[in-house]
Formats: sequence, structure tokens, C-alpha cells
Amino acid sequence: MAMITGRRTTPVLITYILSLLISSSNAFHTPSSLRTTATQLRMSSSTDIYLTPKLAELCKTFSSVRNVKMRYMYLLEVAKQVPDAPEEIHIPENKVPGCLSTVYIDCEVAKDEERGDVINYIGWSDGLLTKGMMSVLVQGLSGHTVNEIEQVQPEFIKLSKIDQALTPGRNNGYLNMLATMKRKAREAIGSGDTADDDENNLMDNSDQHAGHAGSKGWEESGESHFQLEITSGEFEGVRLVKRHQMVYGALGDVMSKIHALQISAKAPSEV
Amino acid sequence: TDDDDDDDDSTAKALIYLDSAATSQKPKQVLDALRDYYTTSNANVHRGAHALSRRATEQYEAARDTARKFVNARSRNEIVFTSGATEAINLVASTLGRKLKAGDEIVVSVMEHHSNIVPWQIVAKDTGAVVKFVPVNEEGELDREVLEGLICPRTKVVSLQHVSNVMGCVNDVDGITRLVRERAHPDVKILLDACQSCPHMPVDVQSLGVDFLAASGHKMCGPTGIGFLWGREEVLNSLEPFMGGGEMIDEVTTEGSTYAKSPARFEAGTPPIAQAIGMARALEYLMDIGMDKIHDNEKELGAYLYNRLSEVEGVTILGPTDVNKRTAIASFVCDGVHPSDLSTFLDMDGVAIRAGHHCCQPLHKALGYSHSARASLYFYNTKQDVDVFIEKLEETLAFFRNMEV
Repeated sequence: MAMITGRRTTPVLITYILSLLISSSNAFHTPSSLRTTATQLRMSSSTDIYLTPKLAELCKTFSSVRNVKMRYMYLLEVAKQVPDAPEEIHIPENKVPGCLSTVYIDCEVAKDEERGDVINYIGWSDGLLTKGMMSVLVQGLSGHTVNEIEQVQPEFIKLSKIDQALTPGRNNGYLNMLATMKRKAREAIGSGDTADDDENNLMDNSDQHAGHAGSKGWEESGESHFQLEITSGEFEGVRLVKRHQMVYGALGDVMSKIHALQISAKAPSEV
Repeated sequence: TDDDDDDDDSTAKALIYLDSAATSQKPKQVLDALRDYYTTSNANVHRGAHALSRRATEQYEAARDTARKFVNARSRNEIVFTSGATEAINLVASTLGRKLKAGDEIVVSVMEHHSNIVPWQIVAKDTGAVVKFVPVNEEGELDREVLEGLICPRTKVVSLQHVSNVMGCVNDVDGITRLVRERAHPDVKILLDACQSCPHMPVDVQSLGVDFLAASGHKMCGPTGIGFLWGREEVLNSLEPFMGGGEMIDEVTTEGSTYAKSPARFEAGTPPIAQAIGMARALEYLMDIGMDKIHDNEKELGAYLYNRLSEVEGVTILGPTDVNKRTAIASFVCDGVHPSDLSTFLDMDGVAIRAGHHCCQPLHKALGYSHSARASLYFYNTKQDVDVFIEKLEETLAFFRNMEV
């Protein structure tokens, strides 16, 4: 959906927030109030990280465990909570790369009365701790729409405190698991776009402005100048100034970290 | 904000470090040498016009002499400092490889570390040469019969491990080089990956009969980012450069350049001065103890590790079952417990081992496992380290066994 050339987190954050803005079929929400049943997604108020209710519940339980060793023991328990997926899914397309053990994940689409197409996951791993991580993700993401799954940020694992003991190898495997599950969800649904007319294109032009003295963001992160082309049904009938205000509002304090954002905001009927 | 102080990493408790095959711990002397260099002798080497540069150059070149002595090379010009063994192998693969033609054969083995497989695959892709792999038998040793069959007049390169970083077995370099000299192409070149031998036993290039040897500094008490390539002087001087730049030239014009002789030819740019000096200090440290003594100590320690490990229920050790054919490395698999689960639990108990394929995917495939756990010792380990490791291993295995019920 978005064309991103930036290196670090700001463009990713912008895209997440903007895709949320676009896909919400209700009236425009600011991120801090986004506890809506329509998207079944939640933002943890302490950390601005998007995760599903089940993930939030799992994280809460993990974080309440006393120490690293016990948390690992509990992870083994969580591993048992998902059944082993059958041998048929042990094929190269389902293999998660970069894990310390062997991991296969697959998914299927199910129909939810209210929310349409949702994804259910199954998985297998020969390593128990890896299976525990997988179980967290399988339980946490199953039953959600592709959009909701796309927006889950890997940083949620910090809320569980499991991340404190993840070696680089395990962390890598975990990130790959989540990325694989997102990819499989997109593939299962088809094109992946649920909002047909809505779109955003974000371009990082920071390099073109390198050396402009004091460009905010350039020194800190190499991200200072962006150009955004955004189309959304939300803008239908809304004045241009108000449209820009809606975008700035959605971005919140990201704006204080960059120098300039050029916005072209259109309604689908104007494209 | 957190109440869990238990949550620290295992370095807070006493650490039992059994991963020296990955990298070694360093003696104080090496750390001091690094610091001393930077505080008293730091300048760029070779072309400087002042006293400090002279000091740096003297120490850097003295480091070359130490490395020469360590492997008993004939000439200091046969020692090329590199960033490590991987670069050393790539250097040979790239410069030798350039001369290869379609149909020429490169023989490696299935037990090789990826850094002694991938560079040859790259060369083969570029030139049309073919890489052939010597298989291992059930004991994990090189299949001698197949090896004999593979070496033929088309064989231009043979590149093998001295000691396996997974199984700890020592390959019969003497026997293999004799065979290769007899049957391969007359210009055949032999490279020895000595990463797991140089740190642990006396290595004498005069008696090994190979043309190149790759050594890793950080695996033998040296700092990271340094190793060396030993090569026969006349062979090194017959190779085209690897990297181009300053230091390795004789004359540079817009029409072209002429090159220095070895070792300068292969040391483009500012060298890893401090690291080379640090490594030399490490080699001196080891030579002061005596490589023979280190070897004997490790044979005993390795046998102890192997024997204790083989008594643990449900454990299968990879490689030769004859303890005399092994160094102090043991990779193993456990019934019902994945190596990564094992290593995580041992880590929580302050025992550091390694889990995975140890950069030897083809070997694991040949032996029939996806991953293994590995304990590797060095002269600073003790039998007590082994005892604690076995104790925690048994506890962890019991824990997982009870979980299944």
C-alpha cells in the first residue's frame, strides 16, 4: 500500500496510523481513543503499541510472572495450548526462516458473522520454547481480520517481558514468525486491500534535503522531509484545511520529530 | 519499575563457558597489549615519517614474526594478516579461483564450515568449475574410499578442515596430502582450515604438506577481527591481488599499477594494527605455556567430557566414538529435547553452550539431524566445568521428561 524508502521507525509508524485512519469505517478517531469494537484492535495506553485483546491478555499474564526462568516455564505451558499441526503443512512455503528450531505455520480463512473474513492459524515446531512463542502468536492473531493482523506491532512482546531473555537468534525467529503470519494472511485473502478506494503513498525525500541547516529529524534519524499522497473516504465533503488537520491529528507527536510533511489529501471521487 | 531482580542475565552468576569453538576468552596480557598499543604506540604503519609510526610499524611487523614462528613458516613473507579465517579462505578462493576453467574440480568435504564451502561455490559459479564433496561415514570421518575416487587429474583445488568444529575429529592431513599430490593435477593447491587446530595443538606447516593455511585469531585468545593466511611464498607471489588499494602497490599510474610482493600484496589499506599486535601477544601467551602442554591437557579434558556425556541417558554424541580421534569438542542431540530448548535452560543456569547447525548445514544433513547442541572446551576450562555442565544437563533433561507425562 505505501511506498516507503525511509530507514527507521517514523515512516512505519506513519503508515500504521494512516492505514488505521483509512480502514476505519466509522467516523474519524484519534489514535488515543481507538478502542473500538469495529476493528477489534487495541492500543496499549502505556506504550502506543497495537496488539489484539488476546495478545494483551497473554502479555499481562507473562509480565506478572516473577522472573525470567519462570516466564520460560510458563512459555512451555503456553506451547501446549495449541495442538500440533498435521504433517501436511510441513512444506517449504510454510517454513519460517531464521528460527533456532524448525517451524511451520499455515492459516485458513473463516467467516465471521460481524466482521467478515478472519484468519485462523495452525503451526508446528520441534523446539518447545519456539512452539511457545508460536503459540502466543497463533492464539493472539487467530480470529482476526487481515487488517488487524497487519497492524499488530512486533514490539508488543515487550509488554510480556519475555523479550528480556530473547537471544538475538530467538528474537530473529520471533520477528520472522510474525512476518510470515502476516504474509500468509495476505495471501490467504487475496489482494489484501479491504478498503477498495482508499490508499496512501508515503515518500521519504529526506535525502534531497540533506544539509538544509537544522532540518529537524535529519541529524537524529535521517528522516526529515516526507511527501504524502493520501486518498480516503473520510475526506469526502471535507474542506482541504480540515483534511490536513485530520492527518496532522492522526500523526500526533510524529510531527514534532520531522521537519516537513507535504500532504496531498483527496477523496476517492476526486482521484 | 520492575520487581524481578532475578531477571538479570547469567553473567551475574558464575559463568561456565563452553563455547570456545565460537570464540575464546582473552587473557589479561592480550587486553593489556591492546591498551598499551593505543596509549603508547598508535600511528599508521609503514609510510609514516615520525617516531610514533616507527614504533607502530616495529610492533606490527614483530607480530608477523610471531605468527611465522607459531606455525613454523619458512619466511615472514608467508604470513598475510586478514580479518579472520573466513577472509583468508575467500582470499585464496578468489585469487586461485580466477585461474580456474570450466570443468576444473574443487574438492571439499561435507563436514566443512560454510566459510570453506561458500567461497568455492561462488568461484565455481563464476568460472564453470565444479565443487565436489567428500562424504563422511557413520562415525563422521571422511570417507577415505570416496576421497580417493574423487581426486583425479582435473582436481585443481582441495580445501579441508584440519579439525571439525562440530565433531572435534582430526583429519589425516598427512595421508590426504600425499594422496592428492600423487593423483590430482600437478598444479593442485591444498588449503587447510586450521581454525579448530591452531588454538589447540602444535601446527607445523613444514610437515603438513599443504599450500595454504587459514587461522583465526579470536579463537586462540586473540582479539576479534584478526586472523592470518599462511601460504608458500612462491605460490602467494604467483597470485593476483585480492583487494586493491594503498600499501599493496609498487607503482600507480593512470595507465595501470604494479604490485608489491607478498605479504604487502594482500594487505591493502590500513591494516588491523592493534588486533595483529593483540593476536601476537596471544600467540606468545600460548607458546609460553607450550602448545604441546595445551594439547595434552585438552586431550584429557576432551576425553573426560566425552565419557561423562556418553553416560547421560538419551544423549547421542556426533562424530567418532573413539575418544583418541577427538579434540575437546562434543556436539550432541538429546531424545525429546530440542537443542535450542536445552541451551536456553542451561543458559539460565549459567552454562553457555551453543545450539544450531554451527555453520555446518551439509554435515548435519549428512548425519541426519537438523540441529545439535555443542560444548567446546579450551585450556582454561576444568573438569569441574564439565561436572556442572553434566549436572545441569541431566536436570534439564529430567525436567523435560517429566513435562511430557
